[in-house]
Amino acid sequence: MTRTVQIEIDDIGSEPVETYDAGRRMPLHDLSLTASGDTSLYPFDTHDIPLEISVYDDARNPVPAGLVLQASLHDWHVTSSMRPDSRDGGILLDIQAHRSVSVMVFAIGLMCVLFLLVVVTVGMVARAVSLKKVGFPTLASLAALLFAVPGIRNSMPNTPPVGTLSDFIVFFWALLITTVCMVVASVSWLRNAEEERPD
Amino acid sequence: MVLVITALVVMTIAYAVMLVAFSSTGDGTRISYTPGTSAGPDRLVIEASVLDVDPIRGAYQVASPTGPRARCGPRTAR
Repeated sequence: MTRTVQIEIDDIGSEPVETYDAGRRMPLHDLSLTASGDTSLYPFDTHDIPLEISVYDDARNPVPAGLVLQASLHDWHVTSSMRPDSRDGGILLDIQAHRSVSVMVFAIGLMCVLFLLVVVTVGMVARAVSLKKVGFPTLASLAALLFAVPGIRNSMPNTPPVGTLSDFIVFFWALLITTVCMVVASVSWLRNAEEERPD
Repeated sequence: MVLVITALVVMTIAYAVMLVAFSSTGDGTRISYTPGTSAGPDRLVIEASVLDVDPIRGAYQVASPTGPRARCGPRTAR
């Protein structure tokens, strides 16, 4: 630093104003910023992150400053824009983060897989029940599917806890339909077994 | 025979689509902001990188109902 400066950043946890003396190198800093966004809209959630940096000298005069912002996260696409009220020594940014295209495509792909899996299962169970051909393998595959559905849901990238939009669109519905299929197939299997019992 | 050729064509097209999709996934951005008359040589340049966006942890660490965290670190200054 060629002169003493004070930097003020609206982050969480660190000192409100950091002073850097002339002749010192500026150390690296990790800052945590607040943001507003609705995680339950996963994988279409967007988070707005304001960043405000003010730079002053000893006499509290603004110091000309610029900011180079870099973002290269695989799972997030980060964009930013400078607010019109930015000024000398006052950098005001609006950063916006939303899920990257890869994450969205993968999550939507898994939702489609879950949906198609349930549709095929309903067809299979309906056919087996109408023909009275529900066997033990059918029940075993339904039980396996019942445990596989939460696994598929949790394999979505960076998935938040249960209660997101994707859960209501596909997961809860798939779990409910699979459970109903399991119950119907089990009852059918029991009735068939009763009918086939030699008296 | 027709089925095999159709399957090969579909697989080749899918392969090409995946390669094109991968080449266009460059999410990295590097933007420079210089407000006001700060473009002179005697200015402080702060380089910052977004290190992580963590909506799940941030929700209770920051004690905010919708509090994701974005970590920004000023890297160097001159």
